[in-house]
Amino acid sequence: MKFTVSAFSYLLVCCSAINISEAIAADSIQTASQFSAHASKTMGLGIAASGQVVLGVAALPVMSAGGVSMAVGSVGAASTAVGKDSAAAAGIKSPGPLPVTEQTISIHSPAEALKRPTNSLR
Amino acid sequence: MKNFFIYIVFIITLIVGGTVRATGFSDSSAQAIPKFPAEKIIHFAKQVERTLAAEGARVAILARMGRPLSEMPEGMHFTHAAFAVYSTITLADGTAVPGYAIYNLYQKNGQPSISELVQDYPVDFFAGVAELEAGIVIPSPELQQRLLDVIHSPAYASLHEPRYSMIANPFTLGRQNCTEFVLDVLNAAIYKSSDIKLIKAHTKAYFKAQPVKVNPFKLMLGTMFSAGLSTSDQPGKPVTATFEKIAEYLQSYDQGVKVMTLLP
Repeated sequence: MKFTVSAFSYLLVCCSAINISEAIAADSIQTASQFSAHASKTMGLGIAASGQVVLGVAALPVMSAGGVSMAVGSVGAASTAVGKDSAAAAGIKSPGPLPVTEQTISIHSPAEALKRPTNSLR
Repeated sequence: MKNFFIYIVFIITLIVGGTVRATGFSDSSAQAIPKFPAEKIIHFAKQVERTLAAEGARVAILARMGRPLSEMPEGMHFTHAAFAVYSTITLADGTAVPGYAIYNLYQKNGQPSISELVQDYPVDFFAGVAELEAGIVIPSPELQQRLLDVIHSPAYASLHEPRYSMIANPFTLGRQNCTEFVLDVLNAAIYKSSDIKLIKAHTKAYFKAQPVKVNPFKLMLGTMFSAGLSTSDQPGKPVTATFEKIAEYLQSYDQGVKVMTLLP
């Protein structure tokens, strides 16, 4: 009986540890999986299969004119200053409202989604 | 004796089953069923994009809730953070359109102790959320420009540490999670340096990390059963970077930063 109690206590601790690791888990699991069995991909593909998204094949950041340059490994003059001083003052202003497409873009194409077996889309 | 054997088999079976569940993460059937219909995800992702665009944000930090708040440890609200970058996006038909691309650090599928840098889009980012809620930090225009310079340079990839821990310590090297990567990139931009030792020195001096409030014994067991959980980079009581702490950090040091939460 004593062993039974101990065993179940150990079991409960193990299960709670596992649940904690899952809960803490920053869900950095990619929504765009390369494996068909991956649940997150299933969800992404499910959205793609709705036919309301278009495939984005490349994205290039829009760089503003007059930006500061940066070399890998370089240590700028501001590197010894605290963040408050270094992040503030160069006087770059917000560009104001920006246009965005009305289309919904995904890394999954509807064609890709439609190739999946139906039963893989939950 | 017979009971003893039965209990041992029962316990081992459950523990092994639990271990598989813990290391497999998304193998959980509960996560495999989307909580929201595609239309709601699409609408919310576009709402986030429009909000960023209306603010004139060229770079923002975006966070999502991958788990219900009731399952999160104290002090933690969002589960994943990444950079949203205003971009020219080329579609499959060659058309170029303006929108936001998301720059993520994600765990590798099937290898939860390893991460990779992945670019996707808002609808992909929010595809599997537990709650339709977005955390948004829009840095000052100056810091946005510096972030663009980092993201557009080899420094961005050089700051990536592929060895993953979901509670990575932002003050030390050896393990990294999505929020620590965001913080490292932020500090690279602030200090205009990709020297990781210098970045960590500044992080120690000015960043306040979130204590991981979990029973040490449970945490030890978690490191045994979950490949994505490690305390090898935690020299003392475990701490980690969270979206909330990053927002507080920028509110303290980046004049002009905007922090907001977006609901449908």
